[in-house]
Amino acid sequence: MSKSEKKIVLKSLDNEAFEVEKAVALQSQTIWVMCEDKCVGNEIPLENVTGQILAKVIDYCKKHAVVDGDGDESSEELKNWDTEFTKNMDQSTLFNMILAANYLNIKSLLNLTCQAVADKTKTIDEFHTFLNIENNFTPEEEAQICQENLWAFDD
Amino acid sequence: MNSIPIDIIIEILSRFPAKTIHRFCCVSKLWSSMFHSPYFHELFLTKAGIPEFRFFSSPQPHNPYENKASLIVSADSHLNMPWMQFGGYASGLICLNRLMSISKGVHEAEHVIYNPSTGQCASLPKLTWYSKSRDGRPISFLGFDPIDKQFKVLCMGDPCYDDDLYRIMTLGTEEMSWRKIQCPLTHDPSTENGICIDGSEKYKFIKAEGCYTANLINYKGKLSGISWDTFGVYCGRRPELHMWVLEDAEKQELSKYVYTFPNDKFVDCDYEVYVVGATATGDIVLSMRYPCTPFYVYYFNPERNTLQCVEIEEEGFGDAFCISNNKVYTFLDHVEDLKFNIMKTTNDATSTSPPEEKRKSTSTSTSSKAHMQQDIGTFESINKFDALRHLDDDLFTYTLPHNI
Repeated sequence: MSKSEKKIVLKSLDNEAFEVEKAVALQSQTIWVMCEDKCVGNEIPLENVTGQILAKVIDYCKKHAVVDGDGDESSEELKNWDTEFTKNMDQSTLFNMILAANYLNIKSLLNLTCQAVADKTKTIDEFHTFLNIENNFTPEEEAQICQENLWAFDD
Repeated sequence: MNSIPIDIIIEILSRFPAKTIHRFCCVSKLWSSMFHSPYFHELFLTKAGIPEFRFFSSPQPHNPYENKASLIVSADSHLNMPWMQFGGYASGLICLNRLMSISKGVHEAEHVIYNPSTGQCASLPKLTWYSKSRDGRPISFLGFDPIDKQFKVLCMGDPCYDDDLYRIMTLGTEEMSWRKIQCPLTHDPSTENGICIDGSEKYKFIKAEGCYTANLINYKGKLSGISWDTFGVYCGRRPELHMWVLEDAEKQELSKYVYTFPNDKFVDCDYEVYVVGATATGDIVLSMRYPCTPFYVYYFNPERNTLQCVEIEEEGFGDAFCISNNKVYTFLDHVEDLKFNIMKTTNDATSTSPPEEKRKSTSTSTSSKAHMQQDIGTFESINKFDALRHLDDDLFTYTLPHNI
């Protein structure tokens, strides 16, 4: 395999180009399918992901890729790296990481980011804000439903 | 702006503790309905890990009112039963159930009877029925009839849709099948709240005003409902315990008693406490519902007006279960039932042994397997009562993942 074939270029929504090892990019099922189908050249346009998020996704994939016998990192270290990776992400970055992981179909990253949201979210309002959902209960309904679930509010 | 697809939201939510999820029921109508769907329930259980049941037991204290009372519990056995939920305890046996929709409108209930003393478990014949109910979530109870020495499982459907789904099965009989029984009144019982006193299969409704949130217990041989009023606590009053005792079922005579707790131990308690039952000497026993350290059971004697906390001691009993959504069920008067052959409970029994099993040192070492080889058609009541006497008054707790 020639050197050029081992590399692939990912192009973000805002036209930022990232050259990465194929083994790194192929952790994304979406990219893998695109490459299999040969429907794209060496440059893959990713229309749903911004450069800022794509850079983070690539960081993650690089860490988790097994490249030329390079992947001998212990699972413990990898776990710690994952924790650090999501630790300081703000809500909006996490939100976009989840969308990107879903779009790119990277299961382990989706798991990691979903878990990070669950770990960081403590209140209904936080989760509201995170998802931009409107509360569509009437005040009476809300009072009733809170009453039914009263035990959940007593800490 | 992009929004997160609903399946991802479900994915995130299934990682929350049960308590948070219930809190989130208030977020939107869509969610509230979603949380109550069987799909979410199953996903949640998967994320919480395979439901593992752990069984601990301890001799009941002779004098729970000693100054510093504590009980050492020992781990008896554990059981991995994917998808199974707690469905009842009676006289040494545990009933687990799993209820699911197999296609639109068709529901199926599976029951497993487990004997924590021997580690045996056996499946009962499946119960299949048609229902308009979306979830089709019937309720099961396990009861022990002390007169005929029989175990019975009662399964009833969603009262809104399946008002004729009342099925009963007697365990250990030659013909294992679900029998239909009649119930004159549609009712919606609480899932963790049913007791068997005399094995009667007839429905009789007794009006008990104000008794609707009560736990049913056997108080000195009489059916009693206990509920308590902690509302006054916030106004500086002590919690009250309300007890209804059915003096005469024929005449429908109920007496009501109100007791005030002698101290405010429950007020400091963050964890929900519930009524377990009553001992032969008339102590009402209460237990914490969620695992924590220290973990307490309480003995309340209404006649003497005494309340005693008894700490349950076992390394890791609280800690090991605190992390996820576990629940503790506490039972009184546990008997190690080494004789009852649950393999006989079913024609097409699928039996499994749990991977690890510890016998209690106090138990007699009768092998249940040897018993299985015998060709017996009747229940061995004499032997059973040997075991009963020997181990009477055990206190028994077990934990399992909390079901939402």
